[in-house]
Parts: sequence; C-alpha cells; structure tokens
Amino acid sequence: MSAPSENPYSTPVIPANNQLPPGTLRTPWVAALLAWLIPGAGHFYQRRWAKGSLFFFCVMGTFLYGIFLGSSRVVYASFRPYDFHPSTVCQVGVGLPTLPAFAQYFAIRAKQAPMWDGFMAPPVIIGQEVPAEWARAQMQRGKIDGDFEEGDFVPSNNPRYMLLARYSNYNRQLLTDPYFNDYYSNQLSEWHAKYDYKYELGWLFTAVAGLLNFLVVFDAYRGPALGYRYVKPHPDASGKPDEASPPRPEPTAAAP
Amino acid sequence: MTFPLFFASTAQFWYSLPLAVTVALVYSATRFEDLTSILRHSVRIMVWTTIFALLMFFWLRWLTAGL
Repeated sequence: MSAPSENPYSTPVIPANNQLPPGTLRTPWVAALLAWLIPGAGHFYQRRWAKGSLFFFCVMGTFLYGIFLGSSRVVYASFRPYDFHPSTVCQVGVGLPTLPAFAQYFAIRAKQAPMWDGFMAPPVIIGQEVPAEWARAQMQRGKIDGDFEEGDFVPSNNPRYMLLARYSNYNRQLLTDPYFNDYYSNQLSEWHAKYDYKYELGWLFTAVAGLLNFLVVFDAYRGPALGYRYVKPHPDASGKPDEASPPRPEPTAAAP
Repeated sequence: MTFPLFFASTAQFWYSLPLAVTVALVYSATRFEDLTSILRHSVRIMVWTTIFALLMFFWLRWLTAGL
C-alpha cells in the first residue's frame, strides 16, 4: 500500500529536484521558433497549456491594445535615412503579427503604393516618390479623412510618380530633400497630431509586448529560470559560516 | 496647482495598470512553472513596481514644484 502523497491522482506531481520533468521541452529550438512566431505557440507545442495560454493572452493582448490606442500606424518598419524606426527592433519580438510591416516596407522601397489602406505602412516622408494615382487620391481625401491635402505632392521627374514636398518657411522654396524631414512636417507628424498621446502609448504597448515575447522565447527554450515552483531558501544555504554556533573544541590529550 | 487639475493630469496613469499586470504576469511565468508560484510572484512584482513608480512620481513632482 502506497502512502497518500505518492498517489498521482490525488496530489499534483511536483518534481523532487524542482526542475521540469525530462523531455518536457521536446525539441527546444523548434519550441523557441514557434514561441517567437506566435506568442505561446512554443508552449502549446510542449503541451504546457496553462503557460501557453497565459503568454498568448498577455502578449497578444498588449500588442493589440497598443494598436487599438494608436491605430496600426504605431507598428511599422523603416530603415530609411531620416526615418529609422527603432521600436521595430522591439516590436518584431511579437513575430508573425508584425509581418505586414515588413511587407509594406519592401513595397515602399519598390516605389509601390502602401497596401491595405496603409495598415502598418511606414509614413510618407519628404522627397519620397509614390505612384501619382495614389498621391492624387490621397490629396482628394483631405486631412480630415486622410493625412494629406491639395499641394502636398508635386510632380516628379518621372510622370508615373509624385513627391511629397514642403515649402520652406524661410524663403518659400520648395523642399524635396529627405534631409528636411527633421525640420518639416511629414506623415509621421500628422499621426502624432491626430492621435496625440495615444500614439506614444500605442508605441509603448506594442514595444513592451515584443520585449516580453523575447522572455517567452527563452522560457520555451530553457524552461523556467528559477525552478518548477518557488522554494523558500534555507537559512543555512547562504554559504557563509554560521557565526552563532560556537567553535568546535580542539580534541585534548587524554589524561594520564 | 489645484486638486481637480492635478487629478485631471494623472488620468493617463491608468494606462500603466494593464501594462504593470501584463509585465508582472509574463515575467513571473518565465521564472516558475507552478501557477500558484507564478501568481504569488507576479503580485509581489506588481506591488513593488507600483510603489517604485509612485515614489518616482512624487519625487519628480517635488522636484518640479517650484517651476
């Protein structure tokens, strides 16, 4: 007859060494890859259902709440001069949900119009060439519905394209050099004006979601950092000599 | 600054609440596997994060009070 504590159906199975049971992590690099692509998917692959669900809802919830606050404009990839978006490095931690941002970036580089009504598209910057039809449609939408108004885009050398341009406040000269993005309003400035502090909050939430998912990837690869469950450290486990206990007396020679 | 204006300016602080909960939960879940340990650890982290943020807030308020 076994003791009640050894019955696996009445008590939770807690490993004696406070580590995950062997084989739980399955193929760690596959789990890590899945965890990066979709938050929580690596843990589902390892059949760690509770933690997988927790990671999925927390990370995806934070990411989607950020998009809800600041619209899909807070997530974009851009590595152009005068428009490097550093939070992309954090946001890419969420994995596949940021894939549209990279699709949009490569479309912009190929001088195509932003797809999906600008979902996760980088902002149009001064001097950027965009298809003329798209530019005219944007100017017709106006600033209430869109981000541009008549006169924002000027003809390019190539008749198929138009350029975003700004007039200098100093000498009314037409500026089309990307250098002036640091000093004059472009589409990113419009987003900041339109969404106010919620644009910053959306940026923050999406970036934090990506950073948290990096921790999730490590957990899928190596397991929990501090063991299966919290164990209160034993007072004798400090490694220091116990000063309270008296020194052991030296053995003395036996009396003759 | 009068009290109504003070609380109007702190209304945006409520956005930090879901962020603190999420960070505490995910961080704790990467420390342990047992759900009870995760919840206990996350509550501790959230309390300490909130206390630290409040201390920083009041310190900055005190620094900028005369400006």
